[in-house]
Amino acid sequence: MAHHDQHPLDHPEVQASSTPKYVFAFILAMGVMIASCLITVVGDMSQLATLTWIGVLALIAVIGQLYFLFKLDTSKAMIWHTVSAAATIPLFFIAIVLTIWMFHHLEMRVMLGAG
Amino acid sequence: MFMDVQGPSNALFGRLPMILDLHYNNPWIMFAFALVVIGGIGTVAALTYFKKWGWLWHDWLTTVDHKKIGIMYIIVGLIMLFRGFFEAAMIRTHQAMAVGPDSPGFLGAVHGYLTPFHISEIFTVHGTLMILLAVTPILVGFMNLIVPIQIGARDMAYPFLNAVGLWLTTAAAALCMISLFVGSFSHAGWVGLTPLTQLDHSPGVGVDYWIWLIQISSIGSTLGALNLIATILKMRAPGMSLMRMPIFSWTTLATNIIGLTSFPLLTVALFLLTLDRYIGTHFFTADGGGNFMMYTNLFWLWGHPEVYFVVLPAFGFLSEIIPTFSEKPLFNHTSMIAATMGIAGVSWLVWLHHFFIMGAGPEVNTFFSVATMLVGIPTGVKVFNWAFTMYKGRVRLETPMLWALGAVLLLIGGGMTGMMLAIPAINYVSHNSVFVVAHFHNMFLIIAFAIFGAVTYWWPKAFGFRLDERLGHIFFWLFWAGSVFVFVPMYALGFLGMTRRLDYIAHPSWWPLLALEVVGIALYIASVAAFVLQIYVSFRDRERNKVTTSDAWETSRSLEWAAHCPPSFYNFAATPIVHSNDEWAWRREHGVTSVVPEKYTSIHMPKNSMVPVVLGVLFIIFGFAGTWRIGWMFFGSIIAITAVLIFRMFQKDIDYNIPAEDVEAYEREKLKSVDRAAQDNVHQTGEMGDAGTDSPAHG
Ligand code: HEM
Ligand SMILES: [Cu+2]
Repeated sequence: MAHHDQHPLDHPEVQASSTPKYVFAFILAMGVMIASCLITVVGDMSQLATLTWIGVLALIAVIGQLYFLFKLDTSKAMIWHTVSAAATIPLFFIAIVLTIWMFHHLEMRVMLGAG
Repeated sequence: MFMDVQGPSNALFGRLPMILDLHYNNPWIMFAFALVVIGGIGTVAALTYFKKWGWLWHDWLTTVDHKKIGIMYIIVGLIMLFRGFFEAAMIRTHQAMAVGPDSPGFLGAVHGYLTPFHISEIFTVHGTLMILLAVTPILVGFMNLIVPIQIGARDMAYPFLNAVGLWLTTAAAALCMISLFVGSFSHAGWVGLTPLTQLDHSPGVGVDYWIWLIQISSIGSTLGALNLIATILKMRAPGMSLMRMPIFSWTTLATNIIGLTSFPLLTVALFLLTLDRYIGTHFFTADGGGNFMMYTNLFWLWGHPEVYFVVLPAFGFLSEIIPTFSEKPLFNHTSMIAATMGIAGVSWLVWLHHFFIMGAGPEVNTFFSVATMLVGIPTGVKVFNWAFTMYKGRVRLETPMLWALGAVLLLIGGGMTGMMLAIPAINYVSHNSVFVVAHFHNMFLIIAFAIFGAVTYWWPKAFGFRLDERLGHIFFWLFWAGSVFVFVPMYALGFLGMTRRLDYIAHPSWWPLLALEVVGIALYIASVAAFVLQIYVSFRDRERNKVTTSDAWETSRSLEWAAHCPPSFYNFAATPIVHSNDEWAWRREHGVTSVVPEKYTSIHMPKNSMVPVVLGVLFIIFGFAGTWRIGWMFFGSIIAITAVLIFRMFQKDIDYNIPAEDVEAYEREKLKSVDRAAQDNVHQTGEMGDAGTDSPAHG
């Protein structure tokens, strides 16, 4: 049932909350976002380098959020969440890598983006 | 920041002033409007006359009972399904009339009776609503209705969330109905062909209706998926290990894993399209750095998993119906589970077969072609399992079994043509022809057959009486004949090169085949009439058709048949203990079929809530305001939705306990309609696949 007799504050997920971690996660997210913004707007790198850096920063942002905001770890309270998040990794891979692969070939053959 | 839109608009009413000067008048719309108004007034009058408003509100609209929610999902879906049949009839009759340069035109059309814009709207709304507002809700309804009982749970893991999902779906259906009368619907196909969906090319509100109703219904589907997964993983009765779980529950699990992982993709793709249309970004535009092929890519990344989302539950129905009416256990339960999960797994790897012709080249096309054909392996496993279940079984051709057999037969045609289309060389000549349309209707018909089978099969469980057999057979044969007459000619026309979505047919030689399709659609409409009549007659004779034991078919196998017909609102008076994957058959075999528990205990249940209905209404306002760009109303509804959710979070009084005495009193009342002697004697041996099958039950 959705409702338990126990007090909401006793839930392990709720107990795991911590202000310093939240603040840190927020600062991290802001920092990474500003950095990627700067790279895109004023950075003067090759396209590949720009994309690579944005990718790396996105990865840092994701991991930071998962750990510091969502508290995903292997404790008993969180293991389901962690496993579900991990289970999406192959899907992430399928969707993004195959898409990039497809567009790479498409671009070569139909000069997509040339116009 | 917001895009300039064509036509009149102002801050107070958004684009609504448009309907004053732009209106496409068509008697068909007036007819539909009259139908809805008369139906609406009739319902309101009946509810008032019979003083049923309180009943409707307390027993249905505010309920969080999974069974009632499931039934309401199915009703919404069936209503939309029948609306879809009418659209199909319009498309078919129009095309049969608009053949050749000399064909006459009516009602403002040059040929036939629908203008090109109007027929485009009709096939778009037909596709969108059939998939998202008819088939999906009906299937989700069955998952709601059956799965908790089948796994021995009291309700879903999150009953409140479940009601929210229902009302979101209903809100989307309501928007679809509103779009019929206020403004217009998208003309860009159910897939949303880009860049046709961009503001430059579709300046009206049609595409916006399409976007918002899909967004609202897919939030509902995502929440529902979450709920069903949690229910199945966490709420199974003691003894029901995952490997003992009946196949329908397994397919529900697989389906919802697909749903949970794919619906958010559609949400994102449509959100980006919304940004393009509302604030002028260039995600999917043809110019300004946009990439409209990315839209197609994202759409099918959801779209293909979605087709497995709808077919897997249908396979689940078949896997329940076939063993019951073959009086044998399902052949190889374990491989059925593996095949289900196999199909779900592959569903993610094949989406590109929807745009082989985009031009990604041989490497890419080969990869996706092979991946697509791999689906044939687990599907084949399923077909053989069903066939071996029937082999040497005592097959009874009652209505549900007829539907199931029809579905298995259709799978041959649909699967075969799917394989053909999965070969890029064939696809290059058949893509965008009506051959594809015939293929996927063939596939969806499997689902429709399985659904009607499931309706007949579980009807006694849900309502306590059986549906009329004779009318059921008539319904089946009419529907079957309709399918043959519509889709065999359509396959042929596909081979002849007829492209899809035509408003005018240039080849007079195609007319005979198109006329045959009209015969088919007439049979479909007749079949719908037979169905309505079947329900009416069965309801009228409900006393005679009453089921007096928990096992309406006498040879059913899974746990839901151990609950009353209809089940008590808390499902089982005492939590069942599960011994086998065919628990009810196991109990029959061991002579423990009594529905009276050894002792009564108190039961913890969720309380009704009006919050989900309120959210549904707010979501209609939200979608409507979004469509017509009424800023204050749009943001106002978001604030209101948030406020209602916060209000709900602070509600403490959301559950209650039914004391043991009340459970006992309630059960005693229920037991009055049970034939106790028959119930205790539904006893058969040898059904669990043991040697020496000597059951005298059915000769
Ligand atoms: C499982 C049930 C299935 C359903 C509900 C289904 C549904 C659909 C739908 C809706 C479309 C076209 C949508 C559109 O363009 O508007 C489609 C196209 C296609 N289907 Fe299926 N399908 C199913 C099974 C299969 C199977 C088993 C295969 C192959 C093994 C297959 C292969 C294809 C291919 C290759 C296309 C693309 C055709 C084209 O547009 O050129 N499908 N299917
Ligand atoms: Cu597909």
